[in-house]
Amino acid sequence: MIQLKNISKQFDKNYAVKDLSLEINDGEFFALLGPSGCGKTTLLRVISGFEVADQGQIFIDQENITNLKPFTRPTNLMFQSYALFPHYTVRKNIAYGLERERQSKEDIDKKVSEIILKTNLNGFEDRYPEQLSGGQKQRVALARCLIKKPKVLLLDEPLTALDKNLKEKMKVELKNLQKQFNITFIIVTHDQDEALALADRVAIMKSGELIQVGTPKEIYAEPNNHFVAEFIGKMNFFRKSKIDNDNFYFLDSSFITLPKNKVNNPEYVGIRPEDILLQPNGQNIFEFKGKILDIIYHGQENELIIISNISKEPIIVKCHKDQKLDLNSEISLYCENKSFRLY
Amino acid sequence: MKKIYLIIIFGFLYIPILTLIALSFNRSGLPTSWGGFSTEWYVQLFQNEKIFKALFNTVIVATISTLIAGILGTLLAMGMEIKKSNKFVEATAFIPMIIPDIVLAIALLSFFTLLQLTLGLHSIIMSHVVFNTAFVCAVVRTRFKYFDHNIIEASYDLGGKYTITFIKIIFPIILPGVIAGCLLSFTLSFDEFIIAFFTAGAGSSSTTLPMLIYSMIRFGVTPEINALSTFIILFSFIIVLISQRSVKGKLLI
Repeated sequence: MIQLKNISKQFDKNYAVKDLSLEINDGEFFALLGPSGCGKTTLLRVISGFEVADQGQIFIDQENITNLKPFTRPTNLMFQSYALFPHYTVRKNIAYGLERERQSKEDIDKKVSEIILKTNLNGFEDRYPEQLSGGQKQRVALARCLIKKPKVLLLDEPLTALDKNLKEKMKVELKNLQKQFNITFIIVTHDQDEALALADRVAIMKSGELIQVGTPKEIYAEPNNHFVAEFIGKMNFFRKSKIDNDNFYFLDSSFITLPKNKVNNPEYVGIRPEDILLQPNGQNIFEFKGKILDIIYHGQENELIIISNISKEPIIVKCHKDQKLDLNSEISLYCENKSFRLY
Repeated sequence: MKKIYLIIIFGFLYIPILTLIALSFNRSGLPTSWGGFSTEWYVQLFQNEKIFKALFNTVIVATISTLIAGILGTLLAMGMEIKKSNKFVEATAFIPMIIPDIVLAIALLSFFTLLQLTLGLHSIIMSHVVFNTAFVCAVVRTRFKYFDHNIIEASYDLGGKYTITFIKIIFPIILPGVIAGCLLSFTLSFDEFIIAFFTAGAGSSSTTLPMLIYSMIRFGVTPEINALSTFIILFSFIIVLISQRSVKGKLLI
């Protein structure tokens, strides 16, 4: 288990990480998600030992590693640029970590050959990094870390440099490797899809602080504030137009009744595009009318951009490809009251 | 059209040098008339002990100052690239390259006099180290621009401590730059005149080749000097070729 206790790190009096505490379990695939500049990479570098935290402590399996140098920590970091040694072949790149541990040559050769098979690099052993494709480079970088059997593998934006098809493939591969080696993975990313698809748990970071930590399902279904709701998936927000304790008034004075014992006087309500329906369904339906401003084609599920009196902003609604809808036509839309999130 | 332009420029640059090479084979020994092909000036050159002594001094100065500057310049380049230097350090490291030789020569001489240092080959060597370090540093730094610095951290991360990381990762990658920088500094040192002239002190024991040539041409350019210069040109040409190959070429290991 890795424990971060009250970690703070400042650069020029600005907090990159601010009093952050976090526990990550053994064998967990954990994602640190946030916009650029939120401190996620700094946190990763603090864990790997390349930055020294101003305050706080790091424990791995109860052992305090706060003051250990990068070369003695039981962590390995996979760099965003992969950082392969250009003057070494694939085989030598992978063997480098074990050679530093002064393992015997036979052991190293055996382990390297094993991991080359596991990461599908057979046939490329004697190539130099510049002769590899992006995906192959990434596999070498992974193999080079995995062979050290670290307690924690840190991955800095591992998929960002890859094109879309390769990204999908590598997602599956990363997950498989993580299961196979049973090593704790901590991945840093700004891509919400990546985090939701890969991780067992996701932590959303903003300005050096954790905003929410939870499983992808929890975070998507119950974002605990406006920032998370906007950052994870799509969310339509409505601003209240009247102060009232029991009801929430939309722009055109239509309203929904607020549930008791929830957020007092919410400033906003939000609703996911897929929770706005084209046919009434469920209980306590809120109905509103809108005009189709645009249809954005995605394939299976398309997006409607709707203008309505209930909001100044256009509203995004999901619709199936078989729905026949015309631009500029007026339609009725329905939402269940319980689908609204209050912020 | 472009070709003609190129020929004109190269002609401008190289016709004087080619003239000198041709004259070194001139039997008459006069720059004004051609007396037929001869290698007698080369024979005479090889019999001139003074020239050989000066050549020996020059090689010593160039070799030792290159070795010292090679180490200092490489370390300086490493410090500046890895630790991220500021503008002041950048400028300071650059100045010995562009400062007029005569100024540097006078400065060094004053400094040595102040220290009451006896002058000789050792003071020439120290002086050459000053500008050679700057040149080595500049060349090695170009090599640092060429690779992803994350590999240094990657090496630490995989268990390579500082010394191992330098030996296994940094040095092999910057080696072509170090070699190129050393070759450049060797050629610079080899034909450097002003600074050597000022810091050599009295006495002929520390006369370098450029100094000897200078003292010889006070009595007119002799064909012997032409022959010697031809050798130096050939030598410089070879060094430049090697140096270009090592910068452009792939990693040596």
